[in-house]
Amino acid sequence: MNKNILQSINILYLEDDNTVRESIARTLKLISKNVYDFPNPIEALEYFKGDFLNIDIIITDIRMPKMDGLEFVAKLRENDLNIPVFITTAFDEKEFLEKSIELKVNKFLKKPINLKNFIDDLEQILEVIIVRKEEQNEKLQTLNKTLNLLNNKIYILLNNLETGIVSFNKFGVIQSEYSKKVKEFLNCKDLENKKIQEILFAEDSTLKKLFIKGIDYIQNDTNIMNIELYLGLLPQYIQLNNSYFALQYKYLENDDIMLIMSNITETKNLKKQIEQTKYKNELVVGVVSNKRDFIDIKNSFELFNKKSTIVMIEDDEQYFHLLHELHTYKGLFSQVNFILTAQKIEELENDLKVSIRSYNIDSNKIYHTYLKHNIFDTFEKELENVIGILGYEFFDNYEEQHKEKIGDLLLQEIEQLKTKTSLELKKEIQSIENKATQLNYVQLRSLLLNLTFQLPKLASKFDKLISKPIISGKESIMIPRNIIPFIHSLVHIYRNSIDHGIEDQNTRYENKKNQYGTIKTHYELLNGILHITIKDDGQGIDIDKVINKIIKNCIFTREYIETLTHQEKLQLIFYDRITTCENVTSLSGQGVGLSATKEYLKSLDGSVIIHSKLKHGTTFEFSIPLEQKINQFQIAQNLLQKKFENYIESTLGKSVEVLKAQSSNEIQWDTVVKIPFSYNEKQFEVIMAIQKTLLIEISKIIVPDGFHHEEMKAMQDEVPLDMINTFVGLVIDDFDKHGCKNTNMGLPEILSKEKATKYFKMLNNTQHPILNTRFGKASCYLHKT
Amino acid sequence: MLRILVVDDSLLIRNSLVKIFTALGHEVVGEAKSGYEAIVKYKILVPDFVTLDISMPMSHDINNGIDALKQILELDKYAKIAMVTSHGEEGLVMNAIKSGAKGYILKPISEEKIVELLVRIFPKNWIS
Repeated sequence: MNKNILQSINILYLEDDNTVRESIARTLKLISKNVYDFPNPIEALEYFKGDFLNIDIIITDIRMPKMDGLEFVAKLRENDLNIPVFITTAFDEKEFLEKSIELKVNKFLKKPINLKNFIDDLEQILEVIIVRKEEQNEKLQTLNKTLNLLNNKIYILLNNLETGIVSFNKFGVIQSEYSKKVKEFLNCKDLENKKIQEILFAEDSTLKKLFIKGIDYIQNDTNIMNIELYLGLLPQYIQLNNSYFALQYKYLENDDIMLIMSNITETKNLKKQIEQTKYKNELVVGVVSNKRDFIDIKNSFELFNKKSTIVMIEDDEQYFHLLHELHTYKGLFSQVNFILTAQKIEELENDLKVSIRSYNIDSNKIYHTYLKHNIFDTFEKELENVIGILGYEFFDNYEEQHKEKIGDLLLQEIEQLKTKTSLELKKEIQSIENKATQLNYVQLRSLLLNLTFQLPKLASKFDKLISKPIISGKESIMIPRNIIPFIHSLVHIYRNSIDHGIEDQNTRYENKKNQYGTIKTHYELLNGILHITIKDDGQGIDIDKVINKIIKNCIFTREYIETLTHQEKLQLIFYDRITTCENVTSLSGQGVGLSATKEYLKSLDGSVIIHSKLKHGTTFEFSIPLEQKINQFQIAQNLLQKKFENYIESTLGKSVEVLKAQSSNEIQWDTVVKIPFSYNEKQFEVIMAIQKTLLIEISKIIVPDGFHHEEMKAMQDEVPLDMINTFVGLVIDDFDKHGCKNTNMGLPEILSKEKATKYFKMLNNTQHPILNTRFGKASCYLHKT
Repeated sequence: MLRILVVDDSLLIRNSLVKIFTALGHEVVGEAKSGYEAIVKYKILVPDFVTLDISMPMSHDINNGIDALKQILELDKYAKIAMVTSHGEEGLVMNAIKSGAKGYILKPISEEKIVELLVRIFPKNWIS
């Protein structure tokens, strides 16, 4: 018999007589090391907590206090435990025999126990037990082996992943870690019972707050869809100890959350180069595909940056307005893929939110925070990237396209308006008008600021010094967009001043001038004429030098030039390819720029006068008429006339002759119809007069056949009303396109003889074209009410 | 095909959304520039789906997108609304979801993101 196995069997021995128990137990201990002896079953139950799975054999007395031996065995059998049982008993207790058989008791041992017999019996039963035990051991070993193997595999797998896995409960308290890596990532040896947020976001209180809020919401929401949404909103990236980690979250069945951390530092570095290229591409794509919008964003952002409002924030409202503006720009820039600018704005936003408390608005602090983040620099850098690829020209022919867009937009909005109620309509109209004005007009001051703010930098490249350019004029002056190219072209005047006008420091010193040159710009709007004066205190225009150059370049002959006035001679500097600068510089090119200014000026019907005094400086005085006097009424009248013609023509299918109005005195009009009509908030009436013969002809065409005589008559009566309704309706579209806003029409009405007489007179007195067809005449006109 | 209301104070974002929804075969039945306008239009149009900018200027006591969200859900507790948001507004978005938003799109907007969102919110009939 296998002694080792015998020595490891577990024997439970119950006997209430201490002397007997101790003596038998001693004997049993010779057989096995594991003998558990108790004076009654209750103590055994307590000791093993009811779990006798590991007991190999039970030896028990019958009569014991609290619970007798057979009761105990019955209890075990109830639990399906087939442990061999020996009963020790002092008497032939026959009454127990039946019950014992039922309980599958293996052996009765009569007290005093015959030790030899006992061991024989024991060995007999133990053999069975040992065989069973050996089998069990074998199975267990195989199982253990497999389990160990599996564990080992998982262990190796998890620890070789570049992934840290850890789970935490609803307070963020770490529950279990699934891979060693997480300790390394978090640089923390003992994670248990620590709060994950304190480790992950130790240096970022914003992220920490967000994280705590997120896990709180998750635990209080039962909707799994929402939980997923919240998980997606938890921080997805962190930077820890100079490494970058991607964070993923999984919701576990026990309401814990699993965090999967991957180190993406290397990937990030590798990706950087690829991303750099990709980023540039996206940047360009973003700009090209949103060209118009992009230019709008660019312009308005430049304006925003120049605005002095950032310096003057004093109350909550202004501050929140600033935050909102920043936020809008962030969204817009991210839409056109200006990712860095968007990021920079976000940093500024966050910094402002942390450092500025609403109850303590500190305009200085805001301004310094704004300057510190330098969002505009980042924007310019990104813009340079774009310009580097697309070139400056890309932005050049923008203005033309823009006009179309404004038209499109207004049309779209007006289209939408047609479906609205009148009260809403009024509000909408107001907002569209504002928008249209905003779109069509630009603040002149900001344009000029944009143009001049880099001039000192430019001058320094030529070893010249100029003070900050001065711009004076009302901030409220807005100019229409078609003037913008001209304003932009003024850059050539400025550059010309720096290159040719302002002297270098030594010369200025010799001439007893302030070492800083000045360039002043003044603008004003007088009687619809925009005046812009650009004045420098440089050396003035050397007319002789200019003239020599012109002659040398064979642009004009000396004879011709001598016929010119002094002013005309000065203006020669605007001619192409003229420069008095010996070296062609990047600054003022070859004089092409100045001619561009002149061209724009000509197209705007503007003019320029130059004052120049040697050694004292040059002044350019530009005048541009701004108000184009368009007679809206005339336009409307013409549109209406044209539509009327088209209508008659297409109805009759023949071309019509347009007669002059003079002969209208002799014309007998048979029917006169009017319809109320309004645009630009002004009330009008459209009057249409027609001869009977023509009306009958048109009726024949537009009144459908096959009706009862009376019905036909009724429809014919409606023909003039239908006519006026149709062509005035058609005209509304055209009106919108021609800047007549809020076009509207009322109900048409046939005029009685008396009323008609009044209109006949008007029609005869005013000169309107009359349509002449084979069938008769017709006329229409717009009448102010 | 879904009938969609697009709410954003930026024309560019509105246009981007309209373009994508239309390309996906849906119909943008209305656009609104403020939370107040959104509520008014929701009443009239009763769209199947609303995209709501999370931060819009205040109008008529409607402070931001979340206010508008709550008021629309008061009108129609089955309204399907997704928030349009930028990076950095995650906390606000959490509030929006708690208040009943069904999803969110992070700017910049792309067709992929919109499709993902629609699949999530309309799992049965997302194929237009």
